[in-house]
Amino acid sequence: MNRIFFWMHDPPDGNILGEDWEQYLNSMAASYILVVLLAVLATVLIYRAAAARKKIHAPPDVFAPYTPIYWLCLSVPAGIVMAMICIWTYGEKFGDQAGGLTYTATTLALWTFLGCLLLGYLGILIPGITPPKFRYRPLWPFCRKRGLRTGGK
Amino acid sequence: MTTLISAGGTGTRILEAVLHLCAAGLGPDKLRLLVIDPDASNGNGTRAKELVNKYVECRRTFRPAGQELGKLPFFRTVLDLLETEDAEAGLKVWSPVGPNKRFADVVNFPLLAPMAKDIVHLFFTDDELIMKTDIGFRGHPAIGAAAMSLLWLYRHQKPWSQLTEKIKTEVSEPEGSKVIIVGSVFGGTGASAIHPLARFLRTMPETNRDRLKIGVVALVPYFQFRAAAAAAPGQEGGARQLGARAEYFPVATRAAVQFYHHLRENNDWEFDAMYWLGDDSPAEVLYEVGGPGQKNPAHFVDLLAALACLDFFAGDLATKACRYAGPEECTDEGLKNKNVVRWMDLPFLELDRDRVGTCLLQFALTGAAHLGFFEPLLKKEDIDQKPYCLPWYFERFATKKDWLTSAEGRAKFALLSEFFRGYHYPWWREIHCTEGDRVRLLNRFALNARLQEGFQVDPSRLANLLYPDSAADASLDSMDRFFSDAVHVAKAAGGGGGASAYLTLLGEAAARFIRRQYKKKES
Repeated sequence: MNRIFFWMHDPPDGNILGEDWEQYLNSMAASYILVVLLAVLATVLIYRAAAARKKIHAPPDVFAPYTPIYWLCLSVPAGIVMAMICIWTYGEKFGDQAGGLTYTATTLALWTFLGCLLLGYLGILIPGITPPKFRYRPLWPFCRKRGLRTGGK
Repeated sequence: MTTLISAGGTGTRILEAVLHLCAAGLGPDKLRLLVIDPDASNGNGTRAKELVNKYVECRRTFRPAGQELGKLPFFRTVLDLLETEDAEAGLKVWSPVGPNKRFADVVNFPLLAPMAKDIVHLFFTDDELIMKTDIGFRGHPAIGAAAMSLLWLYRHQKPWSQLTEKIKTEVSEPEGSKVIIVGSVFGGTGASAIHPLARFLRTMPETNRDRLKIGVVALVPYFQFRAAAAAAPGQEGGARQLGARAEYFPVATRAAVQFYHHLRENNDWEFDAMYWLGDDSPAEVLYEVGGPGQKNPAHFVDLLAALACLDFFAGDLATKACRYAGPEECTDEGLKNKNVVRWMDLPFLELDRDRVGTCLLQFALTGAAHLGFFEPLLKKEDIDQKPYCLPWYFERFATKKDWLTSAEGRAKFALLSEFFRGYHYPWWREIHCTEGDRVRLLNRFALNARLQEGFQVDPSRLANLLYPDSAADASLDSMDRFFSDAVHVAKAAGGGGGASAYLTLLGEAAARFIRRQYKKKES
């Protein structure tokens, strides 16, 4: 399971035993999977509800910011939660004097954030999650240059 | 082929109603139009001419070269206006009298022998003889009938020569030819034109005469004006004194009915169907002797008459019957002993009631969505920069470089807007403008609620366009649902591209919306 953190094979502190580090990474990987799954699930469900609630009543609403996609920002608290778990368990496992905590916590938080963001984004692309009327709003990065009208009025 | 001949001001208003029904897709495949009116400048006639031009323009724009709009029937009827190279394009109005002619000139009175003059005097007063006829026959059917009886003299002139040729060709085919004449029997022009015209039409085909079907929509009084207004001294040589008088309408109607009864009794019945229509509570209209000021509002009897025309065109007419129908009396407080008109009261023999209702609703809904949302949306600059915000636009138009926001595209939408804003909705509003809730077809509150804000239809009442009004259910969410329906319309729904595809999209979205919100069958 610790292959999730494949680049962290070596302990960040020489005083940490390799076997202990491997156990630690295993427990972190389990936490990571749990946090990411919960965060992605929450993101997709809340996004779906928000998108369904978003109505188009007048022409300006069509071009209004697509606020449901902001729920992908749940990846940030997910990363923070992961960092907190890391900090809490790191001290317990290796003692307060062990080095490399900042590097490990930052790396895990960032990795969790990226995992949640990517999976959350893929999640909202699942058919039925985004209402058809907003079909292309999450795909904005890929279609913003298509169909643009050029030339005179 | 079907032909509609409108006689007089009332006939012209029914022509307008027929055009609105044709725009909604209820008309026949082809329809030939001709108006008989000595008062070429009357306000209703001018409006009808404008409407015909607008219809033709819309058809040309949204169905270029006869292109189909998928399954949509909007603007499907091809109009034959008896065009000629030497005449102005548009609706042809034929007058049995020349411009600035007095009735005495029409019957060549000054040159008649003394005995003939005496005979003429037996039928017409001096006032009638000097009456100017170019603003209509003003409720004097005797004058009109005398002028119309000379129709035979014009048979080699346009438009009659064209009409004769066309009818001759049509009766040589198995489908034959159907002609319907519409006009009032209580006024001047209509009352005087119906019978002479039917008799003239019967002589047109030399063979297969039974393949020419002639129908009549005869209007009995459904509007009136104050006696004082009609009798007030006029500026034009006693024009008002000789003008139509509402108090004579019942007498004139009775005489007309007796006349047609006489024809029927004496086997001189030229008609394959005759529809009698009227109203027991005539609407009051402003009195005008004729000319541009005579611009009476539309009335629900116009709609019924137009539906009678379409029913005639759709049927096989085995009987030569007179047809009439009446609604149930209303028991509502304030409308006791009055008749109301509901969808179920529309009298049909051939047309399908559900289809008629759905087509009219679908067209009205399409217009409401266009005017209330899609047209302002297409005017926004953002659409060129963020087309992906509108999936239907992105997929069908923008990615195909078929931009609706071009000057040409906008001109086409402006035309559609003009049709709905300038003609269709005002017509519906006038039809519903009766005492209380007598007309229970569309929801008049939806048509009027936000008129001052520039909305022809309240956008929050898209799901409540039919009677009765349900203000509690008014919600802009219905516009959201319509937008979603537009996204769901199949890309294969048709309409070619550009303006046609746009109208198809709206129409198909309206059909989806109706199926869900109004639980009706698709037209």
